[in-house]
Amino acid sequence: MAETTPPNYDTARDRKLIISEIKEIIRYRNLLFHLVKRNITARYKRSLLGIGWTLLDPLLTMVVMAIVYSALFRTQIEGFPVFLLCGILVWTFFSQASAEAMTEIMYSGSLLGKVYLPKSVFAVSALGTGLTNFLISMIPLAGFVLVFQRPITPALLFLPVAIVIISAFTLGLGLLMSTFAIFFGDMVNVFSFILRLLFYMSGIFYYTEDLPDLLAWVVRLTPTYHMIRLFRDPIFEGILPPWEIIAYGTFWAVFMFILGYWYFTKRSDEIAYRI
Amino acid sequence: MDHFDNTAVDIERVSVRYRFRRDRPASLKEYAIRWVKRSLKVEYLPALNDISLQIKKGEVFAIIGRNGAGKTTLLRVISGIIRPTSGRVRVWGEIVGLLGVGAGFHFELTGRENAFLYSAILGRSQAKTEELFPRIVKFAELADFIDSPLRVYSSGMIARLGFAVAMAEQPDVLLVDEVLRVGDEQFQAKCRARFEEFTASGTTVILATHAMNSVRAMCDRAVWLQDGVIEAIGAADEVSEKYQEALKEGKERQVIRS
Repeated sequence: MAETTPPNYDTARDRKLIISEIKEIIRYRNLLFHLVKRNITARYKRSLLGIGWTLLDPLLTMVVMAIVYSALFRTQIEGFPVFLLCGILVWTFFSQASAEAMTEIMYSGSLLGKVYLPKSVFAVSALGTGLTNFLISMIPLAGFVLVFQRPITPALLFLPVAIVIISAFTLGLGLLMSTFAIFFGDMVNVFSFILRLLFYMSGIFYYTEDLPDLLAWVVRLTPTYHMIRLFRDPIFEGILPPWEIIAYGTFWAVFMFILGYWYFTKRSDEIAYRI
Repeated sequence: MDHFDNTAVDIERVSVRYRFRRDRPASLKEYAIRWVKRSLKVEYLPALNDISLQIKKGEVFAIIGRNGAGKTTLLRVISGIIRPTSGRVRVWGEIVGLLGVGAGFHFELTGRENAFLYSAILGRSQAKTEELFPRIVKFAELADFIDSPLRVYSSGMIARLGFAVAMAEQPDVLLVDEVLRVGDEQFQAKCRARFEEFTASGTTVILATHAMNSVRAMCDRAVWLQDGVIEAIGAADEVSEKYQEALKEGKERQVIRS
C-alpha cells in the first residue's frame, strides 16, 4: 500500500533552501565547466591569437595602467606598478564577475524557461570565468614582481585563502545584484555606478595612511578595500595581512555569501515566473 | 493508494498564478514615483487552476488546448522549471524536457562544443556525453560539419543537432512541447522511430500539441485544458474528438456573430 520508491522530484520535499541550491550546483558541475569554457573561448573565437588573448589582454592592460598611473601620481610608493596591479587584478575580477552574474541571468532567461537548471548556475559560472581570467593574469603579475624585485616570502601561501574569501564575497554580491536586476533592469546601470564609486574607495592606488583622517576612515570601512589588502599584502609587502583585515574581510565574505544566496533562493520562484 | 508503484507523474491540486502588473514599472524611478502615489497594482494571472491528474509509467499522454490554455505551464511545472504556487508535483524517474530543442546553443562554438554544452545543460556528465557522442553525430547526420561553427549551420541542421543530443539517451519521463516537426520529412520519420523505440521500452511521454492526428495515432490518454482548468480527461480519441467538436462550434459561433 505504501509508496515503495521515493519520487525523484517532489515539490513538497525540495524546498529551495540555500543548501539544496548548492547541492544542485555541485550536481551540475559539468555544465559549470562548459559554461566557463564557452565564456572564455567564444570571446576570442574569431581572433587570430585565440585563447592567447586571455594572457595578452591583462598584460597589455597592466603595462598601460602601470605607465599611466606611475606618471600621473607622483607617488612615494616604491615598486608602485606592482602595488597598483595587485589592486587592479582583484578589482577586475570582482567587478567583472559580479556584473556578469547580473547580465548572464538576464540574457539566459529564455534558457531558464526551457530547461530545468539550478538558477544560480549563471552567477557561479560568471565567477568561474572571472576566476580563470584572474588566475591567468597572475602570470604577467609574477613577471612584474620579479622585475620590481618584490620580496618573495612564505606569506604567498596565504593567497589561496585570500582568493576563496574574495570569491565568496563576489559570488554573494553577484547573486544579490542579479536578483535585483531581474526585477529592475535599471539595476545594471545603478550597479555600474556603485562600482565606479567603490573603485576610488578601495585603496587601489594609494595607502590609507596618506589620506586625510575622515577619508581613511571611509576607505577602511569599504569591504573591497579589505579584499584587495588580502591579496596585495602577501605579494607586495611580503607579509600576512593584519588579523583585523582578515577578520573583517572574512566577515564580509560570509555575510555577503549567505545574504546573496538567501535572497536569491527566496525569490527564485518569482525569477522563474518572470522569464 | 496502490497506484504509486506504476505512477510516473502525480499532480495534486496544482495552481500556478503568474504575478504580473498590467503596466509594470520598467525602472526604479517609475517604481518609486508610483510607490509614493500608491498606484502599484499587482494582478494575478491564473495559468493553472487546481489541476489534479496522474500519469502512469509508460503512458503516452497528450496535453491539448488552445494557445494560452496552460499547456506549456503544465510541462514547466512537471519539469521543475517553475514551482507551483500551490499544490504538489511528484515525478518518479529522470526527466528530459524538449521544451525548446537546442536551448543554450552558441553560434560561435562548433557543433561538437555545442553538443557537449547542451548535453551538460540536460544534466549529463562529461563521460556520459563522450560515450553518447558518436551516436549523436550519426543520428544528426552532421559528421562533415561537426567541427564547424554553428553560424554556418542551417536552421534545420541546428534543430537536428539539438534533437540528437536530447534523444541520445532514453529518459524515464520525456516532456515534449510541439517540437516533433523538426527538419525534413526523412528526419521526422527518424525521430518518430526513436520515439516509438522509447515508448516501447517504457518511457513515459508527455506531449503538448495541436496536432490532433498525432494525438490519436500515438497517445493513450489526453487532457484538454481550457483557461487553466481541466475541460476533459480520458482516452486520447475521445478527448481529442470533444476538443475538435468544440473548436468547430466555436468557429461557427464566430461566423454567426460576424
